[in-house]
Amino acid sequence: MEEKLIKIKNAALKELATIKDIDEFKKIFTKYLGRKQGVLTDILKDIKNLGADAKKAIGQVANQVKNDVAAAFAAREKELSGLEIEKKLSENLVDVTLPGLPAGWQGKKNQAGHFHPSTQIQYELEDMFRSLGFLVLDGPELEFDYYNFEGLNIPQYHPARDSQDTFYIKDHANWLMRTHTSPVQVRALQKYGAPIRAIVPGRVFRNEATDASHEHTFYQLEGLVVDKDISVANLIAVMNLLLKGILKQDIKTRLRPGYFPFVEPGFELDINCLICNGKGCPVCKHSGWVEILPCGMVHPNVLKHGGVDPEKYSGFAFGLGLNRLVMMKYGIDDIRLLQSGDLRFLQQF
Amino acid sequence: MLISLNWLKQHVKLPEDLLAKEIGLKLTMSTVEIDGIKYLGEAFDTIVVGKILKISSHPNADKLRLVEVDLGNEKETVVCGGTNLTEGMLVAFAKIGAKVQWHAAPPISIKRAEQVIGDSGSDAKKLVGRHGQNELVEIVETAIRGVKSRGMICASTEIGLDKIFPPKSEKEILDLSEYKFEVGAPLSVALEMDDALFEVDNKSMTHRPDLWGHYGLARELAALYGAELEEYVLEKIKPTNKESISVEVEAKDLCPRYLASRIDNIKISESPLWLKLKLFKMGVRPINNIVDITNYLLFELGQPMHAFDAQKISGNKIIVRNAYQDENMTTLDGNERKLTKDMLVIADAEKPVALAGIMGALNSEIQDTTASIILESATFRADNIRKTANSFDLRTESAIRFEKSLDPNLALVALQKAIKMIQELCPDAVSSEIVDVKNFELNQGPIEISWDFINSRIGEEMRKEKVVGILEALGFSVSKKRKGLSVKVPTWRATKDISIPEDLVEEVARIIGYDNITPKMPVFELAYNAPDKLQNLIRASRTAIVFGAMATEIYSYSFNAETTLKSLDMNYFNYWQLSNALDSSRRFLRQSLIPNLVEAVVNNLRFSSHINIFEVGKIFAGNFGSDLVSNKGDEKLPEQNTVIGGAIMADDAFFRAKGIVENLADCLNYSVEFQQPSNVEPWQHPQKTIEIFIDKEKIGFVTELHPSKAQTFDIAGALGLWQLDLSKLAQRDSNAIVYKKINKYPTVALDLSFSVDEKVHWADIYKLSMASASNLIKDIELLDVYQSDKIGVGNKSVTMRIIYQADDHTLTNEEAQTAHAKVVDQLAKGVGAQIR
Repeated sequence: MEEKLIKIKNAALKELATIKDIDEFKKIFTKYLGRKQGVLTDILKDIKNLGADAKKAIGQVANQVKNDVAAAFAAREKELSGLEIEKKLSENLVDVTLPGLPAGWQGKKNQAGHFHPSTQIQYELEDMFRSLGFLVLDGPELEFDYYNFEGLNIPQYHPARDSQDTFYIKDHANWLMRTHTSPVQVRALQKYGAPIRAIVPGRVFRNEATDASHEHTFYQLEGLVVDKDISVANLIAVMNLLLKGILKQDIKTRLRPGYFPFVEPGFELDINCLICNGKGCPVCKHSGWVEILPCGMVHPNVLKHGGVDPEKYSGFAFGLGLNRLVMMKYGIDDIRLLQSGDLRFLQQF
Repeated sequence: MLISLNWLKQHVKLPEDLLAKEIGLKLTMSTVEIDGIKYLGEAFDTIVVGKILKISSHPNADKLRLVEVDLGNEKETVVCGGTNLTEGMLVAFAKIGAKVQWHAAPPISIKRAEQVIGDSGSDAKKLVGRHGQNELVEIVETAIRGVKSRGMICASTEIGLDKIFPPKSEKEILDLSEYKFEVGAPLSVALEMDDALFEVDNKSMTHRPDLWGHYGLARELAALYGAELEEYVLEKIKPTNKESISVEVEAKDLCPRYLASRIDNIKISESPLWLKLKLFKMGVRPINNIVDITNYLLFELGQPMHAFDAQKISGNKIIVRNAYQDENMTTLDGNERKLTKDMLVIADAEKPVALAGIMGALNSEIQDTTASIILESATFRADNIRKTANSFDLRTESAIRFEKSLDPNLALVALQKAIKMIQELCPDAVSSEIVDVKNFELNQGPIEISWDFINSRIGEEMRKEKVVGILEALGFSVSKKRKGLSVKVPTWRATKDISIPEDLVEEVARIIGYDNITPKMPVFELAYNAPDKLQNLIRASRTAIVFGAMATEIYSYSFNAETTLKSLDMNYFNYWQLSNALDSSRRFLRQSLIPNLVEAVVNNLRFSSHINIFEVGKIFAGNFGSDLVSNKGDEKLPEQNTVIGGAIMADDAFFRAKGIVENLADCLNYSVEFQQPSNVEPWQHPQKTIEIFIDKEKIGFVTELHPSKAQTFDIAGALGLWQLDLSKLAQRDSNAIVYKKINKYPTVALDLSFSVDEKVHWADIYKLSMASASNLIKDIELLDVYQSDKIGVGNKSVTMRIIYQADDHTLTNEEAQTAHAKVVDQLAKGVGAQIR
């Protein structure tokens, strides 16, 4: 029996080496390993019917043969299908200068394209701010530590760095993935000087584990206004206008202290919870209020880093979480969907 | 951090009728964010002080007793299994409706459980919350082994008081006899639990070193309510101990102040109940009188202190120095720490005895037998403490306070108070002179601030007396000047918190309440803003692709997975990498949108075969960006261009992708050229790959995924891939639009079918045709290309339609035919076309 098995194995391997294409492969696969009449399959079936002792004696060899042959077939199949691809590639000549084809029609179904929901919100906000005479600016996502922290009055070992788990870049200790859009405050002041009114929508990063309510990649919209005699009262008025533009309704707000090193004073702007109308629910942690808009008067040190004289100018800045707005607007309960690329999600917008 | 309302009230006289909720809201609106309020008393309202009147045996159980308890104006008899019951004993008695903790640990749990829920299976049990260890169980009337029981005599563990009253054995019930509690009084009153605990959001006060203890918040409340603040005055301590301690501060810049006192004749013991209760509310386990006093002052004043066993301090000498490189010490938590030379230690003549400001060392810990201590009250430099604490991930109560830059003056106040408290608890204790090493200077101003500045920054006219009143209530010394104020900053705000006029504006505005400021629209001068070309291109591209190519926009990560890059055979040796990503498998900064697009295709193929997606995003090139210069101008960041790219599954995937790009370029009004590259990437189809150029600069590509890679990813079918660099496009001008008069003369359309070698490119046919009669040819439309045996192996048939038109007259048929013949002639000569 053992001899027979080895013989079959050698024959199979020999034949396997001689065949040239995938069609021949299919034939000899059936010949040896076919489920119904494969030579090897049959003899393995015979072994099953042997007595216990005999089975024990031959079992190991049989298994070895079976595995060897199966592995050889698998390897050869991969090789041949690779050759097959190469062959097809060399046979078919393609004239790449032929004109392109229309893309939208997929078979019989005409599917409309979709903007990402965050893009839609971002453009809505951009339009609103453009109508108020704001510039729309952009900045690098891979930033210097200086612009992300020091220029914003957050020196090294400042406790405020705690809340911003940062992705750093290998071999470049002073490079990082920006943790907020605020670095563009300093960049914009350096480039455009004062007075300035600008917004900066953009992608930001925090090095944290992802779950339904945490993402390491998300979107903010930064706003900056620097001019003569800009006051807290101005900030409140503009923030209320902004919220009305976003939420399309008059909404109760409250302004309370919030600490961010790059503003002085700093505020948290809360809105009355839209889910429970301020009565208290799990979304607002039973407080009736939802934190939506951190903001504040630009710290004189930030103005100085931006090359603007804080004696002459003052200003305010704010930051909107775009992911949060999108999630609130559509009742999306898993933040990860936004970065998922899942068409079942994206084609709803 | 937790803040007890009763504790606050020891320092500030708040109006009687104020609710905890109102105080919490006031703090949130003006000082720090209160995350929640816990009412401690609730749990203890239905647990009362009972006095055991009579103990008798249970008729049906050996180990259970029937106990009659006096509850003041009523009596109850309950079944109890406690081993330490005596008549006359004061106990904690849980009445019907009270909630106690369920304990799973045997053997007491079984007895207790029986008492609480009656015989197993009885519907009398009522679990509050999920059944399990430490779950709350509500007391209901029940019968235990045939005897009715209404209530329960509690062990300290069952009512969560084991931190204050640690039981000596598991069957021991809580004996309150030593405290002179009134029989029948709720435990909430007896144990001063009628209190509200504010949960303060620590993040909201990282800038306020003065708020990390009760006294600081009491000061805030005094200002907010115009209430009277108890002054924290201490008489000077008279030294009674001849023994002292010598202190040497070597690392002067890391230790602004070091105070110490040697105290002898200490007797280590349990703390009195009131002190234990205070710590209990803060969630801290009482340890012994000395440690408890330092912890108490931590929460009272926010000043961390440390007590060393004086016997273990070698040479009776404290040295504040940098650690030696690789010096070892074992901290109180039992961990051995390897130190570096930038860390600060407290050492004696021989060894480090504490990681300064963070945690003491095991080698000098106070024991039950300790009779002499060195009491330390110091200030350490914030950034150094923070750096060391972070490197060991040792965020102790002490470290989180020191890293906020504490007031060095507070160290003296706390030490004096601690010595006084120790002398109260250990009447024999003698304390040495306070050794005080100072290396600090505070910038207390004064800050000059004008009324104009205050009013213009806030945006409305402030009442002068109001402003002065607020500042004074917060501890500032204010003197009036001609145009404003000269304000001296109190020491507890002078370490870093307040140094500029803007800081004072905040103080005034927040106490007034931001919601009391009237909103006012700013007035701006009109100004022209040149539009940002890239922003416009990005938006136009998105629109063109969504509407023109009917593709759906995805957002993917800026980072690539190594497995995907490997599977695509992409060369990623020059990709930038994240050094500390939590998910290190995805650490490569993308240099193309393709890898993540391919992943998205694979993921979506599980649900749909119609895939036409695109993304707009930044990529991080291996080279440096010309405009991304560091602040000092000495370094550049990687170029971060914004690109648009997409993936489409289709039979003619390559040509569909090409169509998308052609259409996009048309919409944006740029003329791009396509060229076949001499080398293709391993992941690209060796033939179906073209590169996109504008003015000889490569700005993108159109390709199809190599069939063998498609196989690797299990993608059945052809996947078209394309990408275009919008930043590069934005550096160039789009085509100028030149208006031409509309040609009124009729056109003549003539078709042409011919066969050519299959290697001849359409682009060459087009160019040749155009060149042969360019003044008359308005357009050439490709109608068909096909191959068959009839035409012959190696050939293809091409059918096209040429539109002829003259600019200045009606074209005659002859003119058109002549031009057409020229085309035929040129094609025959140029590419060997044979008319069919």
